[in-house]
Amino acid sequence: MRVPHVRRLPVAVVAALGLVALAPATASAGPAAGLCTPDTGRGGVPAEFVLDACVDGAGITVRNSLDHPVVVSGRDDVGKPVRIFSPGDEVAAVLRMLPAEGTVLMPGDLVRWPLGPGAAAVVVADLVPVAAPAIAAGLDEFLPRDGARPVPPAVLETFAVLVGRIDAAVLEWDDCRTDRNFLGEAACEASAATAIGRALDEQLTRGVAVEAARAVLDPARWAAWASVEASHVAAIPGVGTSLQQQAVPPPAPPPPPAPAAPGTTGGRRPAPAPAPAPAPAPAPAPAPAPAPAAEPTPTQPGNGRGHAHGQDRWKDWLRQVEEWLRDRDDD
Amino acid sequence: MIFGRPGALGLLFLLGSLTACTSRASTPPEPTGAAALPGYDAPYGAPGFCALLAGSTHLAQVPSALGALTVDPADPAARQVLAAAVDDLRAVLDDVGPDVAHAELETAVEDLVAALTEASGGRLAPGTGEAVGAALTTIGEQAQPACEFPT
Repeated sequence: MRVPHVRRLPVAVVAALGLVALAPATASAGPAAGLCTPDTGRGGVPAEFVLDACVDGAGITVRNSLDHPVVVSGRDDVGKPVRIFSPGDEVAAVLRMLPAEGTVLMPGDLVRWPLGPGAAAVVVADLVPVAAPAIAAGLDEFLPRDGARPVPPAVLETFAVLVGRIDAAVLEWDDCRTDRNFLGEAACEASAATAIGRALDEQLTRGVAVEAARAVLDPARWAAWASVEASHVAAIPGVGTSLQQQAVPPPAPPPPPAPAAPGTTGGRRPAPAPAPAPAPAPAPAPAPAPAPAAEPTPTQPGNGRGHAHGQDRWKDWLRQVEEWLRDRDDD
Repeated sequence: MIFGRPGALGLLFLLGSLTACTSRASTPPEPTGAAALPGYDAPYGAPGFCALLAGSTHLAQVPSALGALTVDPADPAARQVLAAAVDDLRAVLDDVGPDVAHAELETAVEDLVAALTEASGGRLAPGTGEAVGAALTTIGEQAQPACEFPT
């Protein structure tokens, strides 16, 4: 899922958010009240959560306080993430565009996930491919820069695709060369070099591709990239990678309607919204005896606006409960 | 002193000139690259192609040259590398000869020579990389029992 970049926030807001995001990350992450106005009604941020996070009932705000990128994915009733602050250079921007099962958070990135009423969670995982930062750094000098102008997103995306293709070729090469003699290794190198050359040729202009080929077609570099180890955020002792939020509880039932006094025709309190006029009775009928105090039994149409309004509120509440139960079953 | 000073200088000059000429004449041509497998010591009785393959100075450069040609089929340096590798492989073919025991090896070397020859001419077909990889794999597998290359 491509996360839209926030482009036109007022400068002051961006600056303020930047200050929040650039504040020194705590040694141990977890609840970070400075990222939002906390509301833990649906569950708080676990103290052992691996990133800085804040929940406010309507959303989860997360800042990557680690020194390496991670991927955060929303689960269940989570909306589209919104990037609030994305520091770093073009290499970081390239890595954010890697195809991932979630949102890539570079160090210092601040992202908010809006929540629906159902149960929701965000889960943190390692960035895959793990060598992507090293490969992207290796391609940095070939990014077309034009002074202070930012590199167009389409170009950054092209480099993100290139990083993925190079990584795939390098992993295949590393797997291929195991237990082979020098001729077998040369065979693996030939396949990888051809695949990488093809990727460069297809993604870049001829001149840039030729320059990049000289730098990238190097088995020593491939070996370095292949030996990059995952950070294994899930394996960091004492940290959690999941932040759960409970569903919004069903609305409380309204107080039972008060019995209509005999002969009364109006409610005691005005309805919050204009209520339609009571339908005329199909046939004139005498009003029944007043119902027992706590019994919300139906009354004949036209028999007192207050009583009819209480009945509507009960029906509304029952309908809301049914919807809530149906949503919960769907989840 | 048997010789006078001018005579001794003349003799030294003559000797020096002769030594210099002899050295230049016997110096082998500069190697164009490192051996594919430096320090390889063929097992006793191994066929000659083992040392020829291990000593090839261009086989190791074939992969990167192929990658460069994929980006720019006219790359002169890369084409030169492939042409030189073909020369190395022709020597291997000469050594393998008509020995039926190494028929598969011979076929693979011929396939590799054909693919590299085409690529060095500036015609890089879409499957050239794969063909080179397959041929090198077969050569490595077929040569291994006799050559005992390190793995």
